[in-house]
Amino acid sequence: MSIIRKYIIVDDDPFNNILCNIELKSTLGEVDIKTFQVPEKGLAFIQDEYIKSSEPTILFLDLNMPTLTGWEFMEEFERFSEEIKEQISIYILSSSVDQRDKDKAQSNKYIKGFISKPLEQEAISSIAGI
Amino acid sequence: MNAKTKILIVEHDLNDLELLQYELKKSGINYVSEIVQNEQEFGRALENFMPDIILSDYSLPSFDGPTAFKMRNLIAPDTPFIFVSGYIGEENSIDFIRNGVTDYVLKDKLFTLATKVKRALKESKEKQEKTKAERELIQSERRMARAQQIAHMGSWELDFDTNVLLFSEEACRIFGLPTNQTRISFKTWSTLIHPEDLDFVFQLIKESRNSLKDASCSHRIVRTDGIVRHIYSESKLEYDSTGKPTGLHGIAHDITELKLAETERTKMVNDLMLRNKDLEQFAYIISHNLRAPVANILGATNVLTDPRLSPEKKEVLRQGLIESVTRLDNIVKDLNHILQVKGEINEAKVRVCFSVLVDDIKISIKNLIDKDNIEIKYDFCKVDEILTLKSYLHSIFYNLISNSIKYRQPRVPAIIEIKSQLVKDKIILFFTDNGMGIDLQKKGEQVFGLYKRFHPNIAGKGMGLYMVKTQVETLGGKIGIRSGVNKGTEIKIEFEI
Repeated sequence: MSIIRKYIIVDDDPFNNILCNIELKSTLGEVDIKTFQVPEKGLAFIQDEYIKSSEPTILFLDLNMPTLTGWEFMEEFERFSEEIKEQISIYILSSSVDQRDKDKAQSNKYIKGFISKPLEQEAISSIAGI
Repeated sequence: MNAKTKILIVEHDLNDLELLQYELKKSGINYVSEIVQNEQEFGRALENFMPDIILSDYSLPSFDGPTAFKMRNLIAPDTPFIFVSGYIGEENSIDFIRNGVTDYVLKDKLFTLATKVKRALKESKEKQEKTKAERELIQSERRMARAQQIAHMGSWELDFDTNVLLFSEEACRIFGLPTNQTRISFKTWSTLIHPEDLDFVFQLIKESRNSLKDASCSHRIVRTDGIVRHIYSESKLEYDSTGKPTGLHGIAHDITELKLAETERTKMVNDLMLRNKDLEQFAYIISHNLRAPVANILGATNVLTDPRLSPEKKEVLRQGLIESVTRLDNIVKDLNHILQVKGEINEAKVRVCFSVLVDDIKISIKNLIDKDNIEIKYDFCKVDEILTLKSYLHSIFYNLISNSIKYRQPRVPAIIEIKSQLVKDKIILFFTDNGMGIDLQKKGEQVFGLYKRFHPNIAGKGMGLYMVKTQVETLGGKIGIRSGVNKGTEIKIEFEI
């Protein structure tokens, strides 16, 4: 299995996004990272881009965001066509250490995993398929 | 029943005595007798022998019948007393009977003696039983009254014909009436029912009469001394022999203390639920808001260990660390502030005038109002005053007004209206604006949540409405919201007076 090279980060916290960028690049070298501080824009991007292309992508999704929570983001995401959904593996990347959040994530079939921030190299390696 | 009848005989003449005893025996009366001849003996016999009946001669050498009768009246007034005498005279005999002598027998007509003794004994026995029954009735009524008093439960009867109510003593006490005023008219009674409960109580009586079903309800009364009490009432219909309802029999139970305890309990349960929600929210804040900068600090320190890092990246990380630490500090400060609001209130309640409050706020944000051409209107003609904690009310007004300004629609002149209403024992405040509004269908539950923000392009901490709600609830009030995207927002706040 080849290493996944496309990443989307949806999180309203800019510093977290900077850290993720650094960690992803230092672990995997050059990769394509799209960052969205406003989740609605992330959804729009996915809808536009993934109709055309087909490349496996990993999406790191924050839960606690002002305009649209991670869970609300998932509700919107689930409405996308299967072709789009197939390409994107979603991982919750949240500061939460609450078990209820983890359970909720586990019960959603489009969510592949739950990572408590910060995002570390070990986690990146196993997700990316190294 | 077979005890012998005790007969006390006042007689000195042995012949007469023998004849008298002969008559008694002949009639079959089963008796014992004591014979006395003077005052001393008679007195002692009354005390010790305790006769069932007294047969007395009218005149004796050392004693006389009328004196014996007087002594009997003093010592044993219920014991039948029959004169047995040679001559009494028509007038004397009438006087005696009038004064309470049971009967008289002439010695030359002794054959009537036994009949008269038997009749006197029978009447005396009946009288005793009647007295006993009456005494028991009084006792049982007294017991009932005492039980009613202890239970705070009165009873009443309503007669449909006369529309008169018969109250028990305790019912009188419950309604604040003098305990001897047990008969009251239906009209008087209705003036004692709390005006707000009158319609429904009347309706219930009417329904009970129509449906022939027993009724029960809780309602309030206003006692004659003006004090409001809570009553639980239960009634049954009474019928005559033809099956027609003639009235109501009921009980009235003073449940004021119970009601107060219940209200107190409900309040406590609500308070606890509120506290519980606060705790949940607190846990959420710890998990998300408090941990977010911590996670960033952890992530940054991890990355900083990488020796390949460029100086520019290092500077970015340094800035990020400072930001995260500052954020952490701010959240800790916020939490401290919130917990203080939820803590004890040391401030005294004062009368606050809504119009003065709004005018003060308008002055303090005059720059904003002038710059953005904001109009703040108010109408407090219904009620312009409330007894409350001034700093809280100020904070509530200030937060709501500044929210309306902050989230006004671009290019639409902002109009903020505040008005008050007085409904029953509540003051209701409405804050209405023509701003951007919130999609309540999506965000309804979160509107008042801590660190919840809905407009990403406008700076804010997500604390305003949370603080408003906390403060309203601390003041014992309720808050509600109606809003729609680009349709403005209406905040409704209710305070009990």
